[in-house]
Amino acid sequence: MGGIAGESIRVRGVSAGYGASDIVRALTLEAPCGQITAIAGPNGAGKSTLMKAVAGLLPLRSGKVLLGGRDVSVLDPTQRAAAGLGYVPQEHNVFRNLTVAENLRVGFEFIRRTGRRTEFAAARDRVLTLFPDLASRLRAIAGSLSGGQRQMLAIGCAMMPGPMALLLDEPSAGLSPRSVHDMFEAVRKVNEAGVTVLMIEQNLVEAVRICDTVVLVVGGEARGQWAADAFLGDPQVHALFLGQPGEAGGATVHGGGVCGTSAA
Amino acid sequence: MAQALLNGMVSGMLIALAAIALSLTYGVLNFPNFAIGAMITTGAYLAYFLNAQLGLALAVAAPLAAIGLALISVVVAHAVYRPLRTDDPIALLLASAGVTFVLENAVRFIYGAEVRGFDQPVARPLVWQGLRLNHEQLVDAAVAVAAMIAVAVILKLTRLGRAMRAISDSPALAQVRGIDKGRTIDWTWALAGALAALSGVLIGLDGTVEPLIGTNYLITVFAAAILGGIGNPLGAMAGGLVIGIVEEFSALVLPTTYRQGASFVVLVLVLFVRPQGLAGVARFRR
Amino acid sequence: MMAYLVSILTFVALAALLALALNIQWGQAGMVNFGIGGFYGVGAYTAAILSVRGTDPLTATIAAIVVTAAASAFVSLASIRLRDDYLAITTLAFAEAMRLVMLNEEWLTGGSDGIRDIPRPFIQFVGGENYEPAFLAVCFALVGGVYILLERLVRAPFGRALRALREDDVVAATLGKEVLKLRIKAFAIGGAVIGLAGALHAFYFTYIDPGQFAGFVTVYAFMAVIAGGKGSNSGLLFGACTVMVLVEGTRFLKDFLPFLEPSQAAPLRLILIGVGLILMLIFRPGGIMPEYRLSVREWTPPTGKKLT
Repeated sequence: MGGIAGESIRVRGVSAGYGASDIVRALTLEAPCGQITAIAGPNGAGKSTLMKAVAGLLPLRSGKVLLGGRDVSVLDPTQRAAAGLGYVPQEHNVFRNLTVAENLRVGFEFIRRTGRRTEFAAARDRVLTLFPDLASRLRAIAGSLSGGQRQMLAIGCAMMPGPMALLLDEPSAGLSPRSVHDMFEAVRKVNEAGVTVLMIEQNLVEAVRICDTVVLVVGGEARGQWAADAFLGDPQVHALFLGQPGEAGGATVHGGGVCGTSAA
Repeated sequence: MAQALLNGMVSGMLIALAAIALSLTYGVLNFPNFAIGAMITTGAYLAYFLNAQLGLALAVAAPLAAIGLALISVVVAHAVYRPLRTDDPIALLLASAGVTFVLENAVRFIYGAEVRGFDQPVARPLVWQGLRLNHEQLVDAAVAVAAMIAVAVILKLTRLGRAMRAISDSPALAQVRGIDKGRTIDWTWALAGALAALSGVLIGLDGTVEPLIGTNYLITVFAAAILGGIGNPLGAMAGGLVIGIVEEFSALVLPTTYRQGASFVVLVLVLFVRPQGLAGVARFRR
Repeated sequence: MMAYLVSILTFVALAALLALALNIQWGQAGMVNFGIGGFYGVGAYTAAILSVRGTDPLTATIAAIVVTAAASAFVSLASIRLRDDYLAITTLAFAEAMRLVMLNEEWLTGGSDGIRDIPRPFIQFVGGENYEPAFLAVCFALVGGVYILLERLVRAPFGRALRALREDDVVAATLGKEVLKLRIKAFAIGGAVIGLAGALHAFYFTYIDPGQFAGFVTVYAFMAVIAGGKGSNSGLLFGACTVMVLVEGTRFLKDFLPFLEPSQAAPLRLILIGVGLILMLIFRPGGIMPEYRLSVREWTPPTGKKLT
């Protein structure tokens, strides 16, 4: 599928916020090269803020963001995209009044400004192979697609410039269970093609099936990194989720209990 | 009746050009550009300057005026609208009211309030099956159609057009996808300025050149743009034609001084009944 | 000189009334009225038409107030659910429509010739030179009265409810009709004040024509509100003074620039006023008062790039 060399995403001591105080506080995590890393945590923990900072939409108040070995902290979102960091926002992630084909084209032509037709065609073919559903709907207006299809399109657009790492902000939000499964499958295929994935997910039951590592973010700080299959079973995770440091929670965590719904 | 339809279509095209200009900036910037009337006037006077004073043929003066107003529009955007640092439509509306004061009165300052006309050879009107089409109307229609085709091509087929539509759809996502908002906005103003100038030239050709020609069209142009679906430049074309025809037909029934009243009624009806305009059904809200 | 000062102050009083009205409509109830000039004209013409036909000035003024309030209520009732910019366009269109009526219905309004020889109220009591200062005193008293009334309103539950509505359109939409009636009431109260100003305008100038009620009136009112700041009623008085100083001050331009032809002085004045408006908008701290605009969109995320 075209040997994309994935790059790691490293976040080092990053602080960011909107107003006077910081929402994300000196946070450090690593999304290793070629892997899928999920960011989990209760609502309000600062996950989305963190992602926006990594994507370049929020200025870093401290710390660095590294893509592979390269410090991208001072680059704006466009420059980061040109450097190989793709981003799929949670909402407003497709242009609803443009067609699928136009969305894909826009995804490519502004980040790869000097890209030639052949490069565009190759990128489009790659994306359409990843998301065959889109191939049959190229002329459809994006707003008329179902939620699942729109999400595929959003990821596809982010993939068009051939990123080495991809940021996904709650890709399963609002999708039906069937679409969630398809969507995660697509993410897995993207990763198999060599792209590093860092995603925020509330639906951890599904997410742990495809990801390698899970980072828990609570209160703007990273509270640990688990291997995916160990994450849901760890009582410490349950405690941290509910904001009770040290308390074991008194029960083993069952899959559907904490994750898959909005956390407590 | 058919004559009214014909006249309406021609005047509708002039309105359409200005309505497209309005829709472009409304869509990309969420900006109700009150100064569209003043832009029309300025465009007409630029052409007048080139044509009647410098002696250039109108066919040359008009495109030059379009380029001139395109530049002026970009300068105004940088000098007035950008420093406001807001996307609040009311602040922008007020700023454009200020720009209207300046542009219209600059024209009055230089040229006074007298009625003027372009230096054009007089030609006989065409008559065909009982319908009259005078030379000016023919030119108007041809230029307007050419301009509308050009706009459609730009919007649908070029990268710039996609950028404009993308920003119009979702400014935040456009930024993420690498679209240079500043440059695209500049081009949007340039295009709007060029269209407004053409509209002004054609209006001046069809009638006279005087400082109020733009303001007289203000409500009409807004009505056309809103009818076509705000932010939908292609819809604005249709809106312009419809309004032109409506106004022309209303002149058969109402005294001519109430001509604008027809636009007013259409505007109010559209806003109250179907604010997204006729073509609005396909548009998905941001 | 004194006479000139009196006339300037009268303009200030009229501008202050318009600014107070706009503050109730826009500042408190969040409804943008871009047709102030038209409503002003409705008030003026009502008073003029009645008094020229023999009605006494008090009744004529009350009629002006009622008619303008009713027109305002009507327009706001129809446009209550429109978003801001559409409301601005609608009120503008209304003003234009009024202007067309003023121009065309000659039997009523005298068309473009307007109405002349409007009888001055109570001139039989206060003759000659003392009239204008006396009129000014009445105007000031009225401004004061309206000010007190509106301050009361702002502090009353009525005012608080309005401000709550203004801040959150979604809340306003869900709370239903009772609450929307508040907005219409506010708009009508503003309209009543505009009507009063219109009547005073007619009596002061004794001659009115459609050209006096064009868009610039609306712009001046907005300028007064913007210059005055923070939506406070006292600020508005300051704002009204500022605007009138700007408007009248530029009248002296031709004395400083004698090489200007007379027909050039007026446009130059208006250019300066336009520039003044733009500068006011750019340099007011916080743009157009956060007090007035609380749309979420105005918040620009703190990135390197601005949204506009």
